[in-house]
Amino acid sequence: MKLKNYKQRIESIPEFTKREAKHSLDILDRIHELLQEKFGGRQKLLAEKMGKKEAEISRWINGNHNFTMKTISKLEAAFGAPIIAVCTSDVDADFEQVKSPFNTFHKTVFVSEAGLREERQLSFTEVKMTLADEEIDEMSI
Amino acid sequence: MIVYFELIEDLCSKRVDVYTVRIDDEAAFEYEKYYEKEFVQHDEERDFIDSALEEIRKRGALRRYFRNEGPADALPNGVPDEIVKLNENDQGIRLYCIRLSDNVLILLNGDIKTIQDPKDCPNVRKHFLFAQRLACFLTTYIFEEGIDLVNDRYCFHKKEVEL
Repeated sequence: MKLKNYKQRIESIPEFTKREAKHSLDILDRIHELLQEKFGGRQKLLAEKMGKKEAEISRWINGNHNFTMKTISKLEAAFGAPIIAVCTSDVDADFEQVKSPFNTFHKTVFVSEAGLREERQLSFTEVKMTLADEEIDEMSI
Repeated sequence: MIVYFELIEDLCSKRVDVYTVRIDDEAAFEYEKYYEKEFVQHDEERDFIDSALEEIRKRGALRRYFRNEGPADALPNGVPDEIVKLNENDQGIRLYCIRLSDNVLILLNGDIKTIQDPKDCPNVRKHFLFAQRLACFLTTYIFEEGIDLVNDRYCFHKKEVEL
């Protein structure tokens, strides 16, 4: 069966809502990846590390939760690894690679105070270029 | 009760076959009924669910993307921050579904849930109970019929079962 005006309906959804849904699923993917990597997939061990009941962790992991920044931060601390990363032009920023099956590779260019250009190959699901391609071409080292 | 399965073409992808069902002689499919509903003051949540389904099309119907509802499942997987609630009893939209595997998803009907226990909510009770019943039936049916959910694409398309 076909849905009535489905394409138009999807196109009319505000961009921020689409991003919110995408970020929600990205975060769930990353948490599952870290749970496997750090605790062998065992929610009980994560719960013990966080001082929480396994049932609460299970609700988080299995999609019955709307994550706050606080919760994400607590999970990152328990995993000892990032769940989210923020784009920044800070040359000292330390981005760890975020593994996801939906990675897109982007080149991020930083310009230090001395005017030196540094490039890093980073892997994120959503990363904006710090500089536009035209701006990179115009720069002199 | 006769249940007839059909693919929802707009939602199918390489990663997931998305079905809905029609019950007995009813004219509309269950997901079609949900799709056509007006959810007053819940536009944002409705958009979120539609967006989540679009993401599921690209990624597959992974277990973690769904709310667990016993043998069945539901969307959304976390209520957006700024859902507008009509009153204190408004718990948001529930779209009931059955996730058979990462590759097979059945979308049913739903509504705005107003009571903690869906069995007691006048809006969603019928949809919740039907999802439970169909999910239990399919668990046995798949095993008895030897249906291969991974390799047998479109295994439920235009199939009829009797509950």
